Amino acid sequence: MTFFSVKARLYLYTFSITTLTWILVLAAVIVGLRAVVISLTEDALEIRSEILASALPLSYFDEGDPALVNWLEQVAQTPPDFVDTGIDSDSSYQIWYNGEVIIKSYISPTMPEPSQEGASSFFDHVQDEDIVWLTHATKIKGKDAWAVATEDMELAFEGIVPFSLIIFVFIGENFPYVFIILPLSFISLFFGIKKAISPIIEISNKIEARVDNDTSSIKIKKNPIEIKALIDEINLCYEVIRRNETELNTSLESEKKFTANAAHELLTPLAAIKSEAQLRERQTNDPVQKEGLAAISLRVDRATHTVEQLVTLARLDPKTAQEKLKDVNLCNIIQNVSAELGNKISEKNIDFRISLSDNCNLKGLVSAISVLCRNLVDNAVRYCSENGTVSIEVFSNSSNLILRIKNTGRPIPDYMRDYIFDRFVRGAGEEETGSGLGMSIVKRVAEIHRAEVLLSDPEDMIGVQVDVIFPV
Amino acid sequence: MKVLLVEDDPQLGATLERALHHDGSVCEWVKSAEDASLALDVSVFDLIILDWMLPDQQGIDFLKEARHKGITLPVLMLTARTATSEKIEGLDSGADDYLTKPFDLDELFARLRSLGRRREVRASSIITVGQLSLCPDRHEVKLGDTEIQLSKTEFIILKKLMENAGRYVSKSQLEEYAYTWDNCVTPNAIEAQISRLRKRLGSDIISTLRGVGYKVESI
Repeated sequence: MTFFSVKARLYLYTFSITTLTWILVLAAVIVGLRAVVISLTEDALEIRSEILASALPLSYFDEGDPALVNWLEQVAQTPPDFVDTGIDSDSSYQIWYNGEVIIKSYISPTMPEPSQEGASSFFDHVQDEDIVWLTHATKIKGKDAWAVATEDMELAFEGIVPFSLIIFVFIGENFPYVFIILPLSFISLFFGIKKAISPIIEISNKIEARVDNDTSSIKIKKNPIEIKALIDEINLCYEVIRRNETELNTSLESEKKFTANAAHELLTPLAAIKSEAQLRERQTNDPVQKEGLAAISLRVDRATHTVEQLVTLARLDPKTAQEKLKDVNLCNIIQNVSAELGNKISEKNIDFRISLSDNCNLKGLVSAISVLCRNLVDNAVRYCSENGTVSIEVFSNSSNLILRIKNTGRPIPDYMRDYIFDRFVRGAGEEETGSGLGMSIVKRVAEIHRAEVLLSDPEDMIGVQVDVIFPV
Repeated sequence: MKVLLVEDDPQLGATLERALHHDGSVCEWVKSAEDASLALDVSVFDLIILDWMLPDQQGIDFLKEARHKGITLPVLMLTARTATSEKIEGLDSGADDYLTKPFDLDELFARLRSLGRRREVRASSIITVGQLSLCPDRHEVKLGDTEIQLSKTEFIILKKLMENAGRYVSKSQLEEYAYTWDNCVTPNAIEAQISRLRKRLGSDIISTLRGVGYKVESI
């Protein structure tokens, strides 16, 4: 799964669109300004040529007028000032008479005689070398003469930049808030987006901060509607989990009650038999009777053991596997189980060795692990030879926690090793009160914890070695 | 001793009644919690043997109510071994000791005797095992009539062992117990404490089973 930030995307998109918009506006302004400049220039040219056309004294164009000749000689050196018209020697113009340029300003293009069918004033473009000129020609009344105003467009456009600068300065002085708009728009976008997104981030943080096992509904005052479906679905899932948990707990509870009742119902009659047998044994002096009654007592013990194992096995049925696994200290359990078997151990004079690692923690069910340990240690003690040795080790490697229990005594024959885990299979040579269920219980508990159970021959003694390998 | 036997199973009840008579006690046998309450109102007993499950009420619930009403008699609970939680629940609810069914008659009698002695000094909850008596309230330990001085940790350890007289207690269990009272318990401290206890009380009192734990013999 890849993740991207909506917030970052929002910033990216809005900032870049805003910037782009401003750039486009700027471009439009520049294009607009060009159009304005052209329009203004055209207007100016038209006015200039009309003024020129009317400002010239008509008498100058009478042929043979000596005043005209003088005037022409004068203006050949210096273009005249047309006083009060705003047109001077820096303005660009030409006067044509009889097909020739008679007056020309300093800066003016070389161009053909202005003419257009039927028009007495018109615009035109003229190219002189590399420069394009815009021209406006006005016919002087009654004469074959034209006043032409000309303008170098590039020069006109050069004026845009200083023109724009002036505009900016103007705007800046009189409407300064226009220039605050751009940075303001970014700032307001930034805070606006941040605030709008923050509910989603808050919800995300709240959910992350939940304790692992918290399955209560997510209740947040202000829900963005865009994630409503998501939140509703999550709450639905939680509800399902809670319901399942309740169901599981209820069924586990009734399961426990059932097995507890079963245990009592089975064990009470056995207790009655044993107590009766022992009582009569005390009350008689007949050795044959005594022996018989003692035998009854032992048989009861064996039946009891079987009942207890059956109840334990019943408790370990599939539902147990769904219980939550918690931290379990294996070493403590081993020590407690060993203490419980203390009397049996001392009766058989067993050399009992325990070697436990410092780290004995695994995830599991305490009751089930206790049962596993009790069965294994009980087996080891039960099948251990008189004056023999029982050795218990708990150690770990990189990926496993290993429980190793060894006892001296009769080894398990090869052919038995496979089906020793089946129910009701007991060790050979049975004066013991084994039930045959111990190993099935061990196997079941191991399954629940995904552990492996291995049987082998111990290296340092003749007997049995059982390894339970828990993954951690 | 006068014993109130609360057991609903007819066979077990009958056998226990006869067994108690054989042992020299007087026994009144009732089969329900209600009958037990009536009996307690009417007669005086030395102790109660209480079954875990009764037809009209759970044994522990009856026990809790009885303790609540101010009945301080020693109570021996009969439980099933498959339910370790029953043991703990029973003791928490006010039982003084427990036996798992089926049990050894000898063990039953031994525990009854031990509880009977306790009865005499029930008010101050003194624990007695053989010649040893331990009073938690006054922090006193007596061997016979002689008072023995013990350190706080030694006292705690001895108390735990005496509470479990006849059974082995592992070193880790002792550590855990002592730790809740005194935070400076190191792993070898238990061994050191045990050896000091032996010096003060005599070496027969506490037996060690290597790899398993320690035990005070119940007499």
